[in-house]
Amino acid sequence: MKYFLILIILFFLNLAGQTQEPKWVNPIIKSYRRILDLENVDVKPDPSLEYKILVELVHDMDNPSAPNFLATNVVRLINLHGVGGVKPENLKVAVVIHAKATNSVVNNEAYQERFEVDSPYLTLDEELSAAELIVCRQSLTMFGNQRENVIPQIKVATSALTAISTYQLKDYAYFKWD
Amino acid sequence: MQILKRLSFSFLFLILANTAFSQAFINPIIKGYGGIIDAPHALEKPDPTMEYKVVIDIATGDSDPEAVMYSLQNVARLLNLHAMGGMPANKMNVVLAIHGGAIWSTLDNETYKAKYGVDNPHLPLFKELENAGVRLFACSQSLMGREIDHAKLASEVKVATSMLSVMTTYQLKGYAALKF
Repeated sequence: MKYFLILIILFFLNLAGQTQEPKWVNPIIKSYRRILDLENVDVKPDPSLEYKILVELVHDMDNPSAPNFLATNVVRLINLHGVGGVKPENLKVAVVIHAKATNSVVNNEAYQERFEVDSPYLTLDEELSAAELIVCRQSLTMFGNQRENVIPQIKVATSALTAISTYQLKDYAYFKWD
Repeated sequence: MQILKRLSFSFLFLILANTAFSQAFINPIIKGYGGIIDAPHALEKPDPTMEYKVVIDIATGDSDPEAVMYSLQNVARLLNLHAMGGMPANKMNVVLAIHGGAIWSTLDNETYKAKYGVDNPHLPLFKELENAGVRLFACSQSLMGREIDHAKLASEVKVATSMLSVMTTYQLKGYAALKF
Protein backbone atom coordinates (compact mmCIF):
# COMPACT_ATOMS: atom_id res chain seq x y z
CA MET A 1 0.00 0.00 0.00
CA LYS A 2 2.77 2.38 1.00
CA TYR A 3 4.63 1.68 -2.24
CA PHE A 4 1.44 2.13 -4.22
CA LEU A 5 0.91 5.58 -2.69
CA ILE A 6 4.48 6.56 -3.45
CA LEU A 7 4.01 5.43 -7.04
CA ILE A 8 0.78 7.44 -7.33
CA ILE A 9 2.53 10.54 -5.98
CA LEU A 10 5.46 10.05 -8.34
CA PHE A 11 3.06 9.63 -11.23
CA PHE A 12 1.36 12.97 -10.51
CA LEU A 13 4.65 14.75 -10.00
CA ASN A 14 5.74 13.38 -13.32
CA LEU A 15 2.53 14.58 -14.98
CA ALA A 16 2.96 18.04 -13.46
CA GLY A 17 6.49 18.15 -14.82
CA GLN A 18 5.32 17.27 -18.30
CA THR A 19 2.48 19.75 -18.46
CA GLN A 20 4.76 22.67 -17.62
CA GLU A 21 4.66 25.24 -20.41
CA PRO A 22 7.76 25.06 -22.58
CA LYS A 23 10.02 27.99 -21.81
CA TRP A 24 10.97 29.93 -24.95
CA VAL A 25 13.81 32.42 -24.77
CA ASN A 26 15.84 34.86 -26.91
CA PRO A 27 18.96 35.48 -24.83
CA ILE A 28 21.04 37.49 -27.33
CA ILE A 29 19.06 38.40 -30.44
CA LYS A 30 15.59 39.47 -29.49
CA SER A 31 13.54 39.04 -32.64
CA TYR A 32 13.41 35.91 -34.76
CA ARG A 33 13.73 32.28 -33.87
CA ARG A 34 13.13 31.78 -30.15
CA ILE A 35 14.62 28.68 -28.63
CA LEU A 36 13.73 26.30 -25.82
CA ASP A 37 15.45 26.80 -22.51
CA LEU A 38 15.93 23.29 -21.20
CA GLU A 39 17.40 22.52 -17.83
CA ASN A 40 18.28 18.85 -17.94
CA VAL A 41 21.02 18.74 -20.52
CA ASP A 42 24.38 17.06 -20.15
CA VAL A 43 26.38 18.52 -23.01
CA LYS A 44 26.49 22.31 -23.12
CA PRO A 45 28.74 24.91 -24.68
CA ASP A 46 31.81 25.66 -22.55
CA PRO A 47 31.54 29.26 -21.31
CA SER A 48 35.27 29.34 -20.57
CA LEU A 49 36.00 29.09 -24.31
CA GLU A 50 35.96 31.82 -26.91
CA TYR A 51 33.57 30.60 -29.60
CA LYS A 52 34.52 31.34 -33.20
CA ILE A 53 32.01 30.06 -35.72
CA LEU A 54 31.90 30.35 -39.50
CA VAL A 55 28.62 29.78 -41.36
CA GLU A 56 28.38 29.41 -45.14
CA LEU A 57 25.00 30.49 -46.53
CA VAL A 58 23.98 29.46 -50.06
CA HIS A 59 20.20 29.40 -49.57
CA ASP A 60 17.71 30.05 -52.37
CA MET A 61 15.48 33.12 -52.64
CA ASP A 62 12.35 31.22 -53.68
CA ASN A 63 10.16 33.11 -51.21
CA PRO A 64 11.56 36.64 -51.36
CA SER A 65 9.05 38.20 -48.95
CA ALA A 66 10.31 36.23 -45.95
CA PRO A 67 13.90 35.67 -44.86
CA ASN A 68 15.10 32.18 -45.71
CA PHE A 69 15.03 29.71 -42.82
CA LEU A 70 18.78 29.22 -43.03
CA ALA A 71 19.48 32.95 -42.75
CA THR A 72 17.37 33.16 -39.60
CA ASN A 73 19.08 30.02 -38.34
CA VAL A 74 22.14 32.21 -37.69
CA VAL A 75 20.00 33.91 -35.02
CA ARG A 76 19.21 30.50 -33.55
CA LEU A 77 22.88 29.57 -33.53
CA ILE A 78 23.71 32.72 -31.58
CA ASN A 79 20.83 32.36 -29.14
CA LEU A 80 21.55 28.67 -28.57
CA HIS A 81 25.09 29.49 -27.55
CA GLY A 82 23.68 32.27 -25.37
CA VAL A 83 21.27 29.99 -23.57
CA GLY A 84 24.08 27.47 -23.19
CA GLY A 85 26.01 30.01 -21.15
CA VAL A 86 28.37 31.61 -23.69
CA LYS A 87 28.65 35.36 -23.14
CA PRO A 88 28.02 37.53 -26.20
CA GLU A 89 31.55 38.96 -25.98
CA ASN A 90 32.96 35.42 -26.23
CA LEU A 91 30.92 34.57 -29.31
CA LYS A 92 32.34 35.54 -32.69
CA VAL A 93 30.23 34.56 -35.67
CA ALA A 94 31.21 35.12 -39.30
CA VAL A 95 28.64 34.47 -42.03
CA VAL A 96 29.80 34.00 -45.61
CA ILE A 97 26.99 34.62 -48.10
CA HIS A 98 27.30 33.53 -51.72
CA ALA A 99 25.68 31.72 -54.66
CA LYS A 100 21.90 32.26 -54.73
CA ALA A 101 21.89 33.81 -51.25
CA THR A 102 23.88 36.76 -52.65
CA ASN A 103 20.69 38.53 -53.70
CA SER A 104 19.77 38.96 -50.01
CA VAL A 105 22.50 41.54 -49.26
CA VAL A 106 21.32 44.48 -51.36
CA ASN A 107 19.43 47.60 -50.28
CA ASN A 108 15.67 47.84 -50.48
CA GLU A 109 15.54 49.58 -53.87
CA ALA A 110 17.69 46.95 -55.56
CA TYR A 111 15.77 44.18 -53.80
CA GLN A 112 12.41 45.60 -54.90
CA GLU A 113 13.63 45.91 -58.44
CA ARG A 114 14.50 42.22 -58.54
CA PHE A 115 11.74 40.69 -56.38
CA GLU A 116 8.99 43.36 -56.32
CA VAL A 117 8.70 43.16 -52.53
CA ASP A 118 10.44 44.88 -49.61
CA SER A 119 13.56 43.13 -48.44
CA PRO A 120 12.89 41.10 -45.29
CA TYR A 121 16.64 40.78 -44.80
CA LEU A 122 17.25 44.40 -43.75
CA THR A 123 15.83 44.01 -40.25
CA LEU A 124 17.39 40.58 -39.92
CA ASP A 125 20.83 41.93 -40.81
CA GLU A 126 20.38 44.78 -38.36
CA GLU A 127 19.62 42.27 -35.61
CA LEU A 128 22.71 40.36 -36.65
CA SER A 129 24.97 43.35 -36.07
CA ALA A 130 26.93 41.22 -33.57
CA ALA A 131 27.96 38.90 -36.39
CA GLU A 132 30.34 39.60 -39.22
CA LEU A 133 28.36 39.38 -42.46
CA ILE A 134 30.46 38.78 -45.55
CA VAL A 135 29.43 38.52 -49.20
CA CYS A 136 31.43 36.97 -52.02
CA ARG A 137 32.57 39.49 -54.63
CA GLN A 138 32.53 36.83 -57.34
CA SER A 139 28.89 35.99 -56.67
CA LEU A 140 27.87 39.66 -56.53
CA THR A 141 28.96 40.08 -60.13
CA MET A 142 27.70 36.68 -61.28
CA PHE A 143 24.23 37.47 -59.93
CA GLY A 144 24.19 40.94 -61.47
CA ASN A 145 24.47 43.03 -58.31
CA GLN A 146 26.25 46.38 -58.05
CA ARG A 147 28.84 46.86 -55.33
CA GLU A 148 27.24 50.18 -54.30
CA ASN A 149 23.87 48.51 -53.66
CA VAL A 150 25.26 46.27 -50.93
CA ILE A 151 23.93 47.33 -47.51
CA PRO A 152 26.53 48.84 -45.15
CA GLN A 153 26.49 45.99 -42.58
CA ILE A 154 27.87 43.63 -45.18
CA LYS A 155 31.59 43.30 -45.91
CA VAL A 156 32.70 42.39 -49.42
CA ALA A 157 35.23 39.56 -49.65
CA THR A 158 37.57 38.58 -52.46
CA SER A 159 35.49 35.43 -52.68
CA ALA A 160 33.58 32.92 -50.56
CA LEU A 161 36.30 30.31 -50.99
CA THR A 162 39.05 32.62 -49.71
CA ALA A 163 36.96 33.78 -46.75
CA ILE A 164 36.10 30.18 -45.83
CA SER A 165 39.71 29.03 -45.97
CA THR A 166 40.92 32.11 -44.06
CA TYR A 167 38.42 31.85 -41.21
CA GLN A 168 38.95 28.11 -40.79
CA LEU A 169 42.70 28.69 -40.58
CA LYS A 170 41.95 31.32 -37.94
CA ASP A 171 40.31 28.54 -35.92
CA TYR A 172 36.67 29.21 -36.71
CA ALA A 173 34.45 26.11 -36.51
CA TYR A 174 32.79 25.72 -39.90
CA PHE A 175 29.17 25.02 -40.81
CA LYS A 176 27.77 24.82 -44.31
CA TRP A 177 24.00 25.08 -44.33
CA ASP A 178 22.37 23.93 -47.54
CA MET B 1 12.83 34.53 -92.86
CA GLN B 2 13.46 38.28 -92.80
CA ILE B 3 12.31 38.37 -89.20
CA LEU B 4 14.62 35.51 -88.30
CA LYS B 5 17.53 37.33 -89.89
CA ARG B 6 16.72 40.50 -87.98
CA LEU B 7 16.31 38.57 -84.78
CA SER B 8 19.66 36.88 -85.19
CA PHE B 9 21.29 40.27 -85.79
CA SER B 10 19.72 41.60 -82.61
CA PHE B 11 20.99 38.62 -80.70
CA LEU B 12 24.45 38.99 -82.17
CA PHE B 13 24.43 42.62 -81.09
CA LEU B 14 23.27 41.66 -77.59
CA ILE B 15 26.00 39.06 -77.28
CA LEU B 16 28.67 41.53 -78.41
CA ALA B 17 27.38 44.22 -76.07
CA ASN B 18 27.28 41.74 -73.23
CA THR B 19 30.86 40.64 -73.88
CA ALA B 20 32.06 44.22 -73.99
CA PHE B 21 30.43 45.14 -70.69
CA SER B 22 30.99 41.93 -68.78
CA GLN B 23 34.01 41.87 -66.52
CA ALA B 24 37.15 40.20 -67.77
CA PHE B 25 38.22 36.95 -66.14
CA ILE B 26 41.75 36.57 -64.82
CA ASN B 27 43.88 33.47 -64.14
CA PRO B 28 46.81 34.40 -61.89
CA ILE B 29 48.02 30.83 -61.12
CA ILE B 30 46.18 28.15 -63.09
CA LYS B 31 46.16 29.53 -66.60
CA GLY B 32 43.91 27.13 -68.45
CA TYR B 33 41.06 26.78 -65.93
CA GLY B 34 39.12 28.54 -63.19
CA GLY B 35 38.98 32.11 -64.46
CA ILE B 36 37.80 34.60 -61.84
CA ILE B 37 36.75 38.23 -61.65
CA ASP B 38 39.33 40.68 -60.33
CA ALA B 39 38.17 42.38 -57.11
CA PRO B 40 40.80 44.96 -56.07
CA HIS B 41 38.22 46.77 -53.92
CA ALA B 42 37.41 43.75 -51.71
CA LEU B 43 38.09 44.49 -48.05
CA GLU B 44 37.86 41.00 -46.61
CA LYS B 45 40.90 39.30 -48.14
CA PRO B 46 43.12 36.29 -47.50
CA ASP B 47 45.85 36.97 -44.94
CA PRO B 48 49.22 36.80 -46.75
CA THR B 49 51.11 36.51 -43.44
CA MET B 50 49.63 33.04 -42.89
CA GLU B 51 50.50 29.71 -44.44
CA TYR B 52 47.36 28.43 -46.19
CA LYS B 53 46.58 24.75 -45.78
CA VAL B 54 43.40 23.51 -47.47
CA VAL B 55 42.11 19.95 -47.92
CA ILE B 56 39.25 19.44 -50.37
CA ASP B 57 36.80 16.54 -50.56
CA ILE B 58 36.26 16.17 -54.32
CA ALA B 59 33.09 14.11 -54.65
CA THR B 60 31.05 15.47 -57.53
CA GLY B 61 31.43 13.95 -60.99
CA ASP B 62 29.97 15.03 -64.32
CA SER B 63 27.80 13.10 -66.77
CA ASP B 64 29.68 14.49 -69.80
CA PRO B 65 33.02 12.63 -70.21
CA GLU B 66 34.34 15.37 -72.50
CA ALA B 67 33.90 18.08 -69.85
CA VAL B 68 36.25 18.85 -66.99
CA MET B 69 34.28 18.20 -63.80
CA TYR B 70 33.24 21.45 -62.13
CA SER B 71 34.43 20.17 -58.75
CA LEU B 72 37.97 20.03 -60.19
CA GLN B 73 37.69 23.32 -62.08
CA ASN B 74 36.73 24.83 -58.73
CA VAL B 75 40.18 23.86 -57.38
CA ALA B 76 41.69 26.06 -60.09
CA ARG B 77 39.29 28.82 -59.05
CA LEU B 78 40.34 28.39 -55.42
CA LEU B 79 44.03 28.84 -56.29
CA ASN B 80 43.34 31.77 -58.59
CA LEU B 81 41.10 33.46 -56.02
CA HIS B 82 43.67 33.21 -53.24
CA ALA B 83 46.36 34.60 -55.56
CA MET B 84 44.09 37.43 -56.68
CA GLY B 85 43.39 38.20 -53.01
CA GLY B 86 47.12 38.58 -52.39
CA MET B 87 48.31 35.12 -51.30
CA PRO B 88 51.81 34.21 -52.54
CA ALA B 89 51.65 30.94 -54.49
CA ASN B 90 54.35 29.33 -52.34
CA LYS B 91 52.21 29.71 -49.21
CA MET B 92 49.34 27.70 -50.65
CA ASN B 93 49.25 24.04 -49.60
CA VAL B 94 46.32 22.30 -51.22
CA VAL B 95 45.45 18.61 -50.92
CA LEU B 96 42.68 16.87 -52.86
CA ALA B 97 40.85 13.72 -51.77
CA ILE B 98 39.19 12.53 -54.99
CA HIS B 99 36.49 9.88 -54.61
CA GLY B 100 32.92 8.89 -55.47
CA GLY B 101 31.71 10.00 -58.88
CA ALA B 102 34.76 12.23 -59.30
CA ILE B 103 37.10 9.21 -59.25
CA TRP B 104 36.69 8.65 -63.01
CA SER B 105 38.72 11.80 -63.67
CA THR B 106 41.83 10.09 -62.31
CA LEU B 107 42.16 7.42 -65.04
CA ASP B 108 45.18 7.57 -67.33
CA ASN B 109 44.40 8.55 -70.90
CA GLU B 110 44.43 5.03 -72.31
CA THR B 111 42.01 3.70 -69.69
CA TYR B 112 39.78 6.77 -69.95
CA LYS B 113 39.65 6.45 -73.72
CA ALA B 114 38.83 2.75 -73.51
CA LYS B 115 35.94 3.53 -71.18
CA TYR B 116 34.54 6.73 -72.71
CA GLY B 117 35.92 6.87 -76.25
CA VAL B 118 37.45 10.33 -75.70
CA ASP B 119 40.69 11.70 -74.28
CA ASN B 120 40.69 12.41 -70.55
CA PRO B 121 40.03 16.19 -70.45
CA HIS B 122 41.32 16.41 -66.85
CA LEU B 123 44.95 15.61 -67.65
CA PRO B 124 46.07 19.17 -68.64
CA LEU B 125 44.37 20.50 -65.47
CA PHE B 126 46.08 17.87 -63.30
CA LYS B 127 49.44 18.86 -64.81
CA GLU B 128 48.81 22.53 -63.99
CA LEU B 129 47.63 21.68 -60.48
CA GLU B 130 50.72 19.54 -59.84
CA ASN B 131 52.98 22.34 -61.08
CA ALA B 132 51.23 24.67 -58.63
CA GLY B 133 52.07 22.27 -55.78
CA VAL B 134 48.65 20.69 -55.33
CA ARG B 135 48.75 17.08 -54.08
CA LEU B 136 46.14 14.84 -55.69
CA PHE B 137 44.99 11.71 -53.88
CA ALA B 138 42.52 9.10 -55.09
CA CYS B 139 40.55 7.08 -52.54
CA SER B 140 41.59 3.40 -52.75
CA GLN B 141 38.12 2.32 -51.72
CA SER B 142 36.48 4.25 -54.56
CA LEU B 143 39.00 2.77 -57.02
CA MET B 144 38.54 -0.82 -55.89
CA GLY B 145 34.78 -0.44 -55.59
CA ARG B 146 34.71 0.44 -59.30
CA GLU B 147 37.37 -2.11 -60.27
CA ILE B 148 39.77 0.59 -61.42
CA ASP B 149 43.39 -0.60 -61.65
CA HIS B 150 45.50 1.60 -59.33
CA ALA B 151 48.41 1.23 -61.76
CA LYS B 152 46.39 2.89 -64.53
CA LEU B 153 45.94 6.35 -63.04
CA ALA B 154 47.09 9.76 -64.25
CA SER B 155 50.72 10.24 -63.18
CA GLU B 156 49.83 13.24 -60.96
CA VAL B 157 47.44 11.16 -58.83
CA LYS B 158 48.60 9.09 -55.85
CA VAL B 159 46.48 6.51 -54.05
CA ALA B 160 45.36 7.20 -50.47
CA THR B 161 43.92 4.73 -47.96
CA SER B 162 40.61 6.54 -48.29
CA MET B 163 39.01 9.94 -48.74
CA LEU B 164 37.79 9.81 -45.13
CA SER B 165 41.27 9.20 -43.71
CA VAL B 166 42.74 12.01 -45.84
CA MET B 167 40.04 14.40 -44.59
CA THR B 168 40.56 13.50 -40.91
CA THR B 169 44.36 13.43 -41.08
CA TYR B 170 44.78 16.76 -42.82
CA GLN B 171 42.17 18.55 -40.72
CA LEU B 172 44.00 17.35 -37.61
CA LYS B 173 47.17 18.78 -39.16
CA GLY B 174 45.51 22.20 -39.30
CA TYR B 175 44.10 22.16 -42.84
CA ALA B 176 40.86 24.03 -43.60
CA ALA B 177 38.32 21.61 -45.11
CA LEU B 178 36.09 22.20 -48.13
CA LYS B 179 33.79 19.92 -50.06
CA PHE B 180 33.29 20.40 -53.80
